[in-house]
Amino acid sequence: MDIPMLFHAQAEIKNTAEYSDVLIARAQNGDREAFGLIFEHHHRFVFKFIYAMTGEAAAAEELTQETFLGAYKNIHALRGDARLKTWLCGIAKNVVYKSFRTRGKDLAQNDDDIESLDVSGDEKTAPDREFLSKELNQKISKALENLDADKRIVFTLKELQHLSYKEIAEITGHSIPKLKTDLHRAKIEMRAALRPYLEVKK
Amino acid sequence: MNCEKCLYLIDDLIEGELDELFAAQIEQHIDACSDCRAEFEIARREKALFADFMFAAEPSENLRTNFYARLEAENQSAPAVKISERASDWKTRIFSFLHFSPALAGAALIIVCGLIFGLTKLVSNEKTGADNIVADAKTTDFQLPPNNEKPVAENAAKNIAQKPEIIKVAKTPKLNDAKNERDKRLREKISLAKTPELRRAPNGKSVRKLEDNRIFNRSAAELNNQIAQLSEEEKQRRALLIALETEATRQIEKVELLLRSFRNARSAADGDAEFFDVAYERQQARKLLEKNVRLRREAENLGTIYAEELLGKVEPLLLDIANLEKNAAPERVRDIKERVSNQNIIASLQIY
Repeated sequence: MDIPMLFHAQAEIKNTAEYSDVLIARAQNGDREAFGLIFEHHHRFVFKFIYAMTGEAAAAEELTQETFLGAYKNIHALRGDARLKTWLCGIAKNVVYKSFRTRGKDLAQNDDDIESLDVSGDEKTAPDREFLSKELNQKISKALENLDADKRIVFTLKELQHLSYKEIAEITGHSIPKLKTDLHRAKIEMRAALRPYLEVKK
Repeated sequence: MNCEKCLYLIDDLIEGELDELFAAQIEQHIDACSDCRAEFEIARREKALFADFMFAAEPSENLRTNFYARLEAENQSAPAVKISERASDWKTRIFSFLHFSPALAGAALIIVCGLIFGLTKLVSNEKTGADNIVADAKTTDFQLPPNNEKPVAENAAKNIAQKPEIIKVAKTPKLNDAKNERDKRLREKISLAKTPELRRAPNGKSVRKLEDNRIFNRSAAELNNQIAQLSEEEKQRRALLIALETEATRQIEKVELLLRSFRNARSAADGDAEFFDVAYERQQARKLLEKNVRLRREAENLGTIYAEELLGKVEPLLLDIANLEKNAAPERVRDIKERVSNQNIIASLQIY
């Protein structure tokens, strides 16, 4: 039978990469639920990437939706050797840059958006960390916003999301040496901005 | 090892990207040099801060609901899968016009062919009563049009009314005496082909895949019933799977951050005794462990091996971290750190 094939396939496959291949193949074949699973699997990663880039939660949600709609329309263009996450981030990057251009300015930081984020720390952070985190998160957001786009994207993907240089090069189209230089400078700028909050009290 | 080189490599040390020998040299320097030690602490706190920042950045439920709504709208304006990519144009036109599944349209076509064949053999020597159902694609007075959506029986009745002395058709024309039985079978086929419920059945694909004899041996209603049940069950499983997928992704992400943090735990000395302050990690591990067990069982029930395997892999580590003393003995911490790096767990969590 056709319908439970997804589950049969899961019983046979051994690792995430194969699972991902099965989902992609099914999505390319027009299986919307397979695409739904891809969305469920990756939308938070994409959202966090866009959030770090834009600093605005509501806009990041909107742009994340656009990213996945774009992915849905172009799923046939996904080559076998392109990793799904890298491919999605590439689309997200274009969506974000386009939004920068159409708005004509960097998105202004809005404190309300930070407040509206789900920062209920009960299961995320220990109380001692929670105390500072809200204020600090706003500082980080602000510091990220002050980086230029090239530095911000490499800092986000490497420092915050732990992708490899190779993956980031695929997403941004920049050479690895440039990425390393940008990251180094971004780190220095971020450190300078956040230093007052990082000093160890003696 | 000088300070300049040490400062340059501190990030790599924290990221766990240095080989053992190099890492040991830098750690030695850090232990000896208070300036570098301070830098290391700042860098470590910074990483923890970034981790918290990314943790806090959670999308609201709107993201998901709005996305699915937009996807639905997208699909209604432009279907994602073009039928023309799967079938040649004439097939597409006929099928879309008929609103049949190809299998049913195919069945109708076979019937028509059978009728033509039978008709050519029989038309000259047999007469039948008006109560027989007749079809002929070739003769002009009687047509079973492949792209006419009107029920077959209705057409047949109309034609019968027009031409009372009509012709009986059979697939095997020589066995005329068995015509009543064949009539019956023919009627069954036709009534099956035009049953609207079957046409609208959500899982046309599965209907297509059933063998012909299975179709003909069951009533359409029975089939529909089964399909409806199957898809209902399937819907539930898929909903569960999607929920699990989301939760598992979140869990894996948290475990990854915990293990990163644990990997960077530094020893401190209290008099002669060396220990690790892992109070934070221990607390986190206890929270994560409970959820991990539940998710792993759910994954097992749903047969999602990939998630089950990964959750099962981290579970003993979470258990051990949760069971550490607040100021843990160095050998126990190092043992766990070693297992984390040997199994390359952080990398496999990241891939998930």
